[in-house]
Amino acid sequence: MTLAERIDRLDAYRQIRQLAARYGRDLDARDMDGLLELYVPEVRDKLRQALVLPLRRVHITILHVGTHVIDFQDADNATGSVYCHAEIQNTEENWISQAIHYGDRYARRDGRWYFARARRHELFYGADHGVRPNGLPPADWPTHDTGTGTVPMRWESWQGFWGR
Amino acid sequence: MLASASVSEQPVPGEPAPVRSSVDEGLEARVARLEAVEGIRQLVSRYALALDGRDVATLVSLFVPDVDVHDGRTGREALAEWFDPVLRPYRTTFHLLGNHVIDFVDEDHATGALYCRPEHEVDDLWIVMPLVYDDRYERREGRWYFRSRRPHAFYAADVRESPLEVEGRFHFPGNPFMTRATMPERFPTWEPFWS
Repeated sequence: MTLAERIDRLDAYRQIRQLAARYGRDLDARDMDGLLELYVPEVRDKLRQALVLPLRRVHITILHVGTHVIDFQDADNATGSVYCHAEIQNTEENWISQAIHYGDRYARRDGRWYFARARRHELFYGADHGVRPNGLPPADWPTHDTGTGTVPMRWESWQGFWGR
Repeated sequence: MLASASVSEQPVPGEPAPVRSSVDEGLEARVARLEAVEGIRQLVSRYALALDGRDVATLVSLFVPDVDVHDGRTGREALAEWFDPVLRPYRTTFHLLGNHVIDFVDEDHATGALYCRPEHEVDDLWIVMPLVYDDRYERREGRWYFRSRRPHAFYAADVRESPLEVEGRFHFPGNPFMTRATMPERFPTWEPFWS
């Protein structure tokens, strides 16, 4: 890679990490315009309702974004895995936590990186405050905000390790 | 920066043009350092995903091929054998990473202090164990690997327990590797502060 290409790649990492952080901040702020601007233009209209509806069900949200793996397919396309620990006030009296894995696709348009499609939202678990997540019935998110999720059980490596 | 770069690249009358200006060399080194930081950040996130996915092949590929294993052996194959029983006493795990301090020793070696707040499903318990990874990173043929990685726990306790309620701030039944809480006492500045 030339020096310019190497700087370009570093900038791509930076922008993609910012996407994950901005998503958390904008969602917590209910900044729907800011949130939608993180996506490629052609999916925004379709996504608006899909993003708004689940957010009407909940009140305070605190999305703490952590672990983030980024893989580039080429100079303009990448995939990613993001972990998020969320605290959510999902009714007036109910405070829950969720451990979330986002499966992402990113694309660059005119020098800017965006989410290329709706984020694949998968739960490790969701649980009421003070409740152990062990053995809860399936959350089947977004049907329920609490319950056992689909990862890591869905992952091939997980099934291989435990011999199933 | 840009102004001085353009000045230094002006040809000096009567002197041969430099093959590569010192500014370019400085720039290359700075880009290489940024790439090193990025390589190390990706390394630690890949470790968390591979561990939670029980992807032992990927996990050991993140270490230098001649890694020293905790049981005294050397190499990735031995490391994979060591990992297997260490990863079985709990089912679902969730390694949420945070603060990451990276210090470079030289161009190919760095150390790291990485905060992590892992959760573990241990039979009927849900154990949270905030910890700091004491890492050594090494670059081989342009790629960054773990030379070594040692986790040091602040505490381990079930989500329904106070860390102060459990003996030695450590309650993690059946963990063959992590057996006690050593942080923050392990920080060399901790004890002097209180004495």
